[in-house]
Amino acid sequence: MEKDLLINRIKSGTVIDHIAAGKATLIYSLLSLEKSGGSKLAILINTDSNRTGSKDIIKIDNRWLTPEELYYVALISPDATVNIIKSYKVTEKKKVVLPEVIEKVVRCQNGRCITNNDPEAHTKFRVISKDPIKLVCAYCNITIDANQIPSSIAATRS
Amino acid sequence: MGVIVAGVISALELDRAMVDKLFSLSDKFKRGAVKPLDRSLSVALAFFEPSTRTFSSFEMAAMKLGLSVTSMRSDKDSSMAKGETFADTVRMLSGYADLVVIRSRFDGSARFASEISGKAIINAGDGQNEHPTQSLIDMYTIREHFGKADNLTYAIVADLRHSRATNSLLYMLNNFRPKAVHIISPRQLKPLEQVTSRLKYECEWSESLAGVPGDVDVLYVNRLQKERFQDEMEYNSVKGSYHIDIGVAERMPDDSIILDPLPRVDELDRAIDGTDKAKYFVQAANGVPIRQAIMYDLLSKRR
Ligand SMILES: [Zn+2]
Repeated sequence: MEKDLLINRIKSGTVIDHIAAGKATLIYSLLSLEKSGGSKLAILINTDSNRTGSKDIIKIDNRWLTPEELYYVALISPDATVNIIKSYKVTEKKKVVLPEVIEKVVRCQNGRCITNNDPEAHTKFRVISKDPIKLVCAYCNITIDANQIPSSIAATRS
Repeated sequence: MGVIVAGVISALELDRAMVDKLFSLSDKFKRGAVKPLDRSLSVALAFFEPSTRTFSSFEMAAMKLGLSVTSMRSDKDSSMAKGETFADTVRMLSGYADLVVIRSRFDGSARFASEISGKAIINAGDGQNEHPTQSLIDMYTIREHFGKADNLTYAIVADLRHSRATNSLLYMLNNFRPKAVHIISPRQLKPLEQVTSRLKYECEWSESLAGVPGDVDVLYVNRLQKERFQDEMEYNSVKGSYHIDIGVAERMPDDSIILDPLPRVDELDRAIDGTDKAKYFVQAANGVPIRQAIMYDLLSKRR
């Protein structure tokens, strides 16, 4: 199968599979994958999926995701899976998990929030809905919807 | 991060048992029937934002409890003006007081303070978020008048989008099974969904004072804030429609009351002041026993 062929081209690295169709480039830019030190990288957009019709896939040679980076993936595409490849084989396959509480990753969009006004006050959001994603700031109570998440994450990484 | 110690941060976290306990403690303070705290304790009043009424009522309550009081008022007097962060100022005050009362213009500042302080924190107003002690004062005044606070009909005329006092009041009402809650405000000043989604009762919104029902028990009024409007003309066009005059007061049922967390601008006609319905100065005076009760309770819990 075409999919297997593509995955197997990575000797060692990470395959982010089952990304919601059209979201791969967003994950690519949030994870700054262009800075992966010359790693081979493939992005498949709108490829066939048995489950949802179409999906995106990102494959990166010699690159593994930190727990924080896995949260970014979960926030953008809660149904994504992450496969760890070693010696051309999938050695670990896990679904990304959105934690109950997300610390530091997302910036609060409320300019009056203490998390935007004290260098020590890190953000903390409770996940009040997973589908669609909805977060509430543990400090100022503002809610963040799925469509606001990309800009809220980008702001923390700039 | 320090140990999280009890405090009063949000009205959502005050359950009915706690509220009832604070009310009966306030009753006792009014009668002068409370044993003093048995040793010397202290409170820091950290007011990063200007305030006169809330500050003086906390100060008076602390003095009546025999507490040593240290106070810091507004950014300007404090080391924050010299570049010290909010966190460092809170830590410093927590170092020498047993309890810290915080007023700040930042939403969520009291919650953050409670995480780093190691001492109990009282939220005396955080930005546009909450003012939980005010909501206790409001409900206490209502209970005092009606002899109960459950199953009453409310009409709230205010800028609910930006008011921390009404946010906390709406949360507090979760404890009191209101018969009906009518919200009267311009469309752009309706309460935020993040607030109404946490309420265990329905609110009915209307744009005009005609929305005050004939069987209202509590008319809660708070000023519209001029600075929240896009332009002055827009403000002038709506402000008249939210002016409570003697006519509105006279149409209300005999035993009903009017509350206002004050200060007032022009939302309440002074002609109402002399009527039996005007309870806003009683409400203001209740600030002292309620705040005595809160501080007493938190300080008795500490080891
Ligand atoms: Zn916030």
